[in-house]
Amino acid sequence: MKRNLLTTILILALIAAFASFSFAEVKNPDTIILATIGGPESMDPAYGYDTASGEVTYNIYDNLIAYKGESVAEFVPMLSTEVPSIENGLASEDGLTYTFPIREGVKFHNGDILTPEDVEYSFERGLIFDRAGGPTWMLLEPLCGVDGIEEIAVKLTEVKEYIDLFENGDPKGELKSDYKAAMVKVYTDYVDKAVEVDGNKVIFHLAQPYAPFLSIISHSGNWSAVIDKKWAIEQGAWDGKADTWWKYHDPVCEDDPLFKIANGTGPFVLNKWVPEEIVMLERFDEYWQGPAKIKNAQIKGINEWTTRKLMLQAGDADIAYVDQQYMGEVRTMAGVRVVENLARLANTVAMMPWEINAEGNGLLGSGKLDGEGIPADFFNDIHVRKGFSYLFPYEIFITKILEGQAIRNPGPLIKAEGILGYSDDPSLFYNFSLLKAKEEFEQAWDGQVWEKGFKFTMYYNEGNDVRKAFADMISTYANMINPKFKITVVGAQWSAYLKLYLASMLPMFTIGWLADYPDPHNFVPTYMATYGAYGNAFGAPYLEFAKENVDPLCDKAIKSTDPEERAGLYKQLVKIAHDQAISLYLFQPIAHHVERTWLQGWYFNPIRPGEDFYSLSKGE
Amino acid sequence: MLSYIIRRLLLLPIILIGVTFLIFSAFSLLSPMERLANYITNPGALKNPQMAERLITKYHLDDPFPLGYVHWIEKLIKGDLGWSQSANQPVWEAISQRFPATLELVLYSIIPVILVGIWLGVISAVHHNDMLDQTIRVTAIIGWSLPTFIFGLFVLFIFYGILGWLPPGRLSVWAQDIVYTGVNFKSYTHLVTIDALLNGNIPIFLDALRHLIAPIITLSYISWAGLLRITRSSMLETLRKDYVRTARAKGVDEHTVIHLHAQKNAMIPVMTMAGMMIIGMLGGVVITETVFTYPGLGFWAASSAQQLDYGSVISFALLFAVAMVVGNLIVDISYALIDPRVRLE
Repeated sequence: MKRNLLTTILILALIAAFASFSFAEVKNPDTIILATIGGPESMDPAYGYDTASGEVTYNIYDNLIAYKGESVAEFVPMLSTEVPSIENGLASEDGLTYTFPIREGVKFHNGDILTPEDVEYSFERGLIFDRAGGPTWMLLEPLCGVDGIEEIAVKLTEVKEYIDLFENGDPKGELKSDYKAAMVKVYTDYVDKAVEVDGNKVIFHLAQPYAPFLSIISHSGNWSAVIDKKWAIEQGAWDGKADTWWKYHDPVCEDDPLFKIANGTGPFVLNKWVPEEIVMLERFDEYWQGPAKIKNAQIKGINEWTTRKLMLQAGDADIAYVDQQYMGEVRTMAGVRVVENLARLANTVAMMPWEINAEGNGLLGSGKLDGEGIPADFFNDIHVRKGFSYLFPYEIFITKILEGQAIRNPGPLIKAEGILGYSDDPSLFYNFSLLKAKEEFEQAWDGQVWEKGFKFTMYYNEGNDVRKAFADMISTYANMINPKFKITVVGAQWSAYLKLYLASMLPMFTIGWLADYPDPHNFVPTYMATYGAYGNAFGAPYLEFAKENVDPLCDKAIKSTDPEERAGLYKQLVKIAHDQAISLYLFQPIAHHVERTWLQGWYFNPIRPGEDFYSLSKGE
Repeated sequence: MLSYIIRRLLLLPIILIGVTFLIFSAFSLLSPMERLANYITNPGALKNPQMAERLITKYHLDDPFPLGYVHWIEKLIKGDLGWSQSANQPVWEAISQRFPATLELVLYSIIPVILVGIWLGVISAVHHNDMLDQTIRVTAIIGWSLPTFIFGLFVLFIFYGILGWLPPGRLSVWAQDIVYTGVNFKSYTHLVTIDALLNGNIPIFLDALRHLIAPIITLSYISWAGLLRITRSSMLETLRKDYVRTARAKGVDEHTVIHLHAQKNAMIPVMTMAGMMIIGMLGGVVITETVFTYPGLGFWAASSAQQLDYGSVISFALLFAVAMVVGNLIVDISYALIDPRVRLE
């Protein structure tokens, strides 16, 4: 009896102890907790090219300038005391020089004082770092006029490939002595000249006028964050010398000494990073703009939605990532605030390659226009592309599948502040019309498409229900207008999908783009130019077309310093996209934000990679 | 027995080579382009097709299978397990960071598995076919039948969503600040509950325990339900044995008959199964850890497999294989110790 009583008392005491943790007014008042999915790839600003890395960098590091509040077109000074403009004489009229006076007395987290040399080092290190698949191309394009630093090395040394410069073809091995002088020149003639220090100023010399340059280096881009030169060298990063840069170029993660550590001038110090689990940030009390209102911030990787939801409900998460499909579960949740209708700087399109790799490609069926397949150049006929453009019910898709959380765009441009050339002109949109689709298909391939029909397989990456819905709908409507039109929809693992994409074997597929910076140059060339990330996926006939009709306009638009001229050029490009029915421009997603009502100070800036913890505080 | 142990341990490298060879072979069936998916989550990051080729060369994704395997073995011998793309850190670091959390979860889960499983199994057998037996059996069947993730979400919903008692994760925010930053807290074993006691920090001990209870309930339920059924069958069989009848006939009290005579002998098959179940729990942590956002090996293993991060998957398999072999060996030895008739030759 006594033992039972003791056990009961112990259990009740434990329950009371546990319960006492659970009910407080504002939970964890000193800490803001963000429950999200995944986690950052790296803490090195030059390495990360994902939004999760960008979010951490954003809060730890500062840039020369930043976006003004919610705007993506106006800037405010940050580590630079002024935003360069022609009016203040810090930007040259030819658009080739930008001067930044560096703020004095700014401290890094380790106590070092910011110098102009730190700024110069940060950018130069980024240029020579240039990880394959990383973000540095955005700096190389304006500053050196190339997509990759290796292009300059290959040009100066006249080798066929970059690896040819090294013994045994191993870029991590010894540089062949014959090429050393030329490799030094890559730094001295290009990198060093691009960013120079003049007294307390840092001057950027651009290789070409580049309208979005200020956007690229502003605070939303981790690739332009300023790091501490002395500290970085002490950690084993590039020593700043001309005759060593290639040893620090394109490293693998384990060879990057700044991969998991950080030392910025930003409002938060990196306290602890457990990959895929948690990032712990602590307030930097000596921050030059004054300490943050909140003491700590945590970014937790919680992949399971139910767990995130319960954390939000219990107040253990202040902000939670919520997929659109679960929004109904949080809209009426007590103590939770939902902000909706936030236009994202992103879009999703369905691409129709003008030439598909037919070698061993079962997705094309027979590979002929015999009703049992399609030829490799099936989409090279404009009537096929226009037929598909009319075949898709864009508005129904947005209303039913995306629950209205998207807007339509006329071409690769998205609707946002600063996106020059965007137009709502109805003539630039294809509207759902089975009749018009039929008319186009009847003309395609001299009537053979309509007469014989076609058959191909359309892949989507499994788990992406939106892409699946698109594929199902286009397949259904194709079959509806002509039973001989057969599109088989197949889900594939991401790895298999990527393989087919890289091998140019997908006949028709959906793909998305999230803006790096808010400028039409980040969207139009991406989808349309021969050098664009997706432009080159259309195949040889398109590249030939684009070289003549798209690239010159893109080049002219990026080099122009006149906003009106740029807007006109992008309008022309959008018209080409429409007239040629290059792709099906499906939607621009609308985002939402879910937070506890006790969170104060949140604002939306569509280009910001995640949360700005500096602006946030807690308290009802 | 010593020679038996040595022989079993000598088999370990062969088993490990077999396991790693199999996994490596499976991954080699994927083309280099498919393996590249582990490194590329956004095709837009590839400015041109040549960049894909560059990445394949950079990460040695086109190495022929024998060459790749030999390189991996060479590095393994030097203690280098490679880089985990899914964890964004060296594999060895990923394992050492996550293993203590999983070990702590499994160790605590053993207690309810053994105690509850055996205890209820014995009660069930003693009360054969009466109401109590039926209730226990139904509970066990539910335990067997429920998928872990359903049961886990149910536990999370009740004890966290409604009652607010047992939150997910490993520690509360305030405790994380102390434990993770190492201020006034020394990690001796990296098992937070043990370290908290060694540091004399009872609030952290209670907090860690509070976070452990829900995953322990989830992880152990299926195992104890299984063990209960085995204990029950074994007990029923033993209770029908002649020597039990003789003991009762001699007037030995029922408590002694059950717990001293019958239970001891009934435990022989139970111990074997218990050992296997505990080892099997290492595999079971995958879902439990995911549901409760418990930062252990299981969660990492699952995401590694999804991302085709073969370096991580193969290392997890290696660890699991070692645990299996050593665990089996311990079961064999304990089997011999429990039952003197068994001789390990």
